[in-house]
Amino acid sequence: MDRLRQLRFKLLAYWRRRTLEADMAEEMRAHVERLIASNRDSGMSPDEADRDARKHFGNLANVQDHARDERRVRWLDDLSQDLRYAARQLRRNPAFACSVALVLALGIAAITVVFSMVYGVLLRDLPYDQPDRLVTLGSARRENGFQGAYAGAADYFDWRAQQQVFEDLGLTRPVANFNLTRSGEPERLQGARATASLFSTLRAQPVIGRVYTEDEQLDPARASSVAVLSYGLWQRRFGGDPSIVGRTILLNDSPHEVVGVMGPDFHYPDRDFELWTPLYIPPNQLRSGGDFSYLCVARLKAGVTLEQARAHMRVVVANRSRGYPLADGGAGVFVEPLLGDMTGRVRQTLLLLLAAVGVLFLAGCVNLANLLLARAANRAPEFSLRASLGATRSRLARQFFAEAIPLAMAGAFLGIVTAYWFLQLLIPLMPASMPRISEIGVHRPVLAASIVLSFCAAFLISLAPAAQIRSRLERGPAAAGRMRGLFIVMEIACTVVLLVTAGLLMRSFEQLRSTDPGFRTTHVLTLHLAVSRAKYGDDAGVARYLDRLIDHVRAVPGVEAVGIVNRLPMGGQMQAGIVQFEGKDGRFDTDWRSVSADYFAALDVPLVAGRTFNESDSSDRTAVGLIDERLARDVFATESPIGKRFKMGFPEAPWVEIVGVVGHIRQEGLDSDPRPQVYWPHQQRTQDRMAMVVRTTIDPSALSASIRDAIHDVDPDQPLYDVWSMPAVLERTLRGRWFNAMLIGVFATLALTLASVGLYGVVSYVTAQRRREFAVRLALGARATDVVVLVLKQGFWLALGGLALGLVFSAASSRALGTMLHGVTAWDTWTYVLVSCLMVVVVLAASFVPAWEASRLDPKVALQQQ
Amino acid sequence: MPRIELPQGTLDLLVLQVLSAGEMHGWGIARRLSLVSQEALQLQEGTLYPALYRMEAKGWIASTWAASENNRRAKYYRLTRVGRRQLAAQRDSWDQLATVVSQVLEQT
Repeated sequence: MDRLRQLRFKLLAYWRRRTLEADMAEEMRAHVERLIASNRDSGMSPDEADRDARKHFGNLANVQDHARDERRVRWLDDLSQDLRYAARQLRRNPAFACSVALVLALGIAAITVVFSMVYGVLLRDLPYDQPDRLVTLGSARRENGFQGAYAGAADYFDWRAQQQVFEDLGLTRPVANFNLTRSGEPERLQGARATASLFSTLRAQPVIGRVYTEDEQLDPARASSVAVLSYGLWQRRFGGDPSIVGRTILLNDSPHEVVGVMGPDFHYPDRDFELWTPLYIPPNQLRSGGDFSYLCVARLKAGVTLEQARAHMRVVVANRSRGYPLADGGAGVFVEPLLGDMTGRVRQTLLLLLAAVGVLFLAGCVNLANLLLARAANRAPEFSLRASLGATRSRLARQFFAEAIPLAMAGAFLGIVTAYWFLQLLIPLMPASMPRISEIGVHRPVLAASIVLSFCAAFLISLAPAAQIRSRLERGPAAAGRMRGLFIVMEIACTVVLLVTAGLLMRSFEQLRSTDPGFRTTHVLTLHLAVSRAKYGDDAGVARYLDRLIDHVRAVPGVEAVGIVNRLPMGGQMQAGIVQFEGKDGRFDTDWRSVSADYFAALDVPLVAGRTFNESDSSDRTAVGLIDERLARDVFATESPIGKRFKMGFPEAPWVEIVGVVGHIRQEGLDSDPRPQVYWPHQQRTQDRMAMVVRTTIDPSALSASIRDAIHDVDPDQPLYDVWSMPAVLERTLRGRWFNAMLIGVFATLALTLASVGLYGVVSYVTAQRRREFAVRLALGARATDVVVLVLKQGFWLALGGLALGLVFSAASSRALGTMLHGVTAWDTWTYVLVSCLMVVVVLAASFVPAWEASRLDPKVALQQQ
Repeated sequence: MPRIELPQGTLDLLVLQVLSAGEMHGWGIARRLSLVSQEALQLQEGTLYPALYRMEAKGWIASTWAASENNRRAKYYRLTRVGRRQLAAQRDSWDQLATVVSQVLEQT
């Protein structure tokens, strides 16, 4: 306590030191004057009085020094002196100060950008109350969904009834499209059908009105006529008018009463969803083993851990009375934290980016250390002088730390501003599959981390010249060259690692891009539409409408073939479930597709056996279906599947006769191929949401307007969305890989630039050290080229060291890339060779200028100089 | 009385004692010390000030500017509560020291 009080007093004294200094002078002067006066009173002459008084008082300067010492905080005084000196030094060498600040800013900018991404996506809390208590429940795992775990509807109701570890559960079907009409421009909105318990599980309150109740959700009539809007939708389409509550809007041509609007921060499953309607499932459609398309979220009860919940749910699932085995071979139930489940699929990518930027930052720091060493070399005389005047080594070392402070501040400031700007540029380029993009930004934790890192880096870097002071004062300049050489080797190694990683990722990207997806990708236009049931009635009505649309579009000049399908290949949406084959064991996880007759023609999917659908396969005829060749091989081996039957994986499903086998298509992405496909004619298994594929003779985008018009000829109110050419659709699936490769490529380029500049500096320095030697050689008859070779050899050995080290590290780190590589191994020869050649070329180029200058030395001049 | 050197650390004790009688400025403390010791205590009067500042930093005394007897501005020092405790403690240890030293001198 005592020391604390002392410290506080001294800090206050430091703050007011000028006033206190004046006070002290006055106090002591007054004392001396009174001494003089008293001496005069006792009869001394003025001079004597003065002398005697001063003798009595003591040496004024000494006394003042001692008095000041009692109030000082020594380190603070020293620090402020160091800082002022440092500022002066930096101002006298603006080129040096700027280059250090810029390199540091570059490193900090890169790291801040990646920190922002990692923090925003992986770490930032979800916008719900107590988000760490929320978990997902699912029976199946999907790779490319909103969450990792997907559930079936029947599972949800069972779990909800029998569990005891959750406060509540909510179920959502995220695939629901709503055509909003008669409230302005017809628009297709993305919405979700959710149970009323979703809102209570997430503890989300509406900002006006209310959410629908469970009673409303269980009443079929009521469930299809209420809706809750998102804040964004309310602002955008309805002007934020509070009278929206109770008003009726037309969704899919059926009236829905708006019962409430959610708050501006509420988003579930993500920001694209703008309204929620009650999820009503007719009891006879509740079946398991079928459709795992639902998202289930639950809130843990207070005091229950994740492990306890997992164990409990496993017991619940084991005890279930319904005997339907589960799709994933009885894996049971997955219970995962909500945030982790949502972001799991990008975690590896983000960690890779973090590692890469860490390597870049390391390279930058090493580069900076070299810069500081170079500068320290120039200041050797200054430091020798100070040392001989009595400065301790630690005092000199502290000087470097003091110089690091303003550089760290400048670097942090510039870096963060650059990062902010760069993020604005980068975010639109991010793949749509990256979850929580809206959370990415330079938030406070990111800012704090970057500032701390900047200062830590600055201090660590200034250790280099500080440590060198010792050796320099004792051993002379040769030691300096060794340390700089070591640093440049490290920098080259870091650069090589980044180059190899970037190279591997780019080659993977190229390999992937040229993968054959199984269907035609050029000259194909795609679009999506959702058919309003209210308008077209039952399945037959919808099917007839879709057939009319197909006919109209086919009539457009430039169109060769038109087909429709319920899920566009590579479109990012899926519909999958179990099928069983008559007379065969086994339940097969497949993509379920409803298509029109010309779908396969439009996409150039080959017919392998039998026939595709035609006009005779309508709703009142025999149920027919197609399977793809992969399923044919897996199930039937050498038998012909034609005439055999399959059905969906639940008991009441109708049997369907196989009339043909078509080629296998990649549905989800060029890099994954989890399931085969089965097809029904859309007239026999009608769906509301369809994608249309149009094969064209000319550039597809040129025809999009005419195709739109053709569709609107049939129904002017039909909203269309996601109108893209097929190459654009594919490009979207590749966007993630492209982004990674691009960003790491940028890091690699930056590292390479820094390394070349750094190498140039080191080779120049070492060459300058050996000037006399070169001058002597030249004088003794060596040719200019000999000197050039000597200098190049220096650079070459440094490069070789760095390259060897870098290749070893690359081999190790590339293994960690694992699944991100496609079509290339971690030891891809081509990449390694290319990177090695690149490094050698760069190194030789960087060494060339000092080499050239060395060869032009005039021996006489060089030898005369000291 | 012969003039004596002041042992290390005892200046603090003397200053505290002087201030226990009331607040005073540096000049006043110096005069009082000289008076009470009948001129035997000869110290460089300037050395009072480092001691005063040190004790102020430790919180044993506090200072204020005020008008002095001859209407000039002077800095007055006064004892704080902590200072009073310090004074009592230092007096005790001084007494103990004196007793022990006397004992040893008498015995041997």
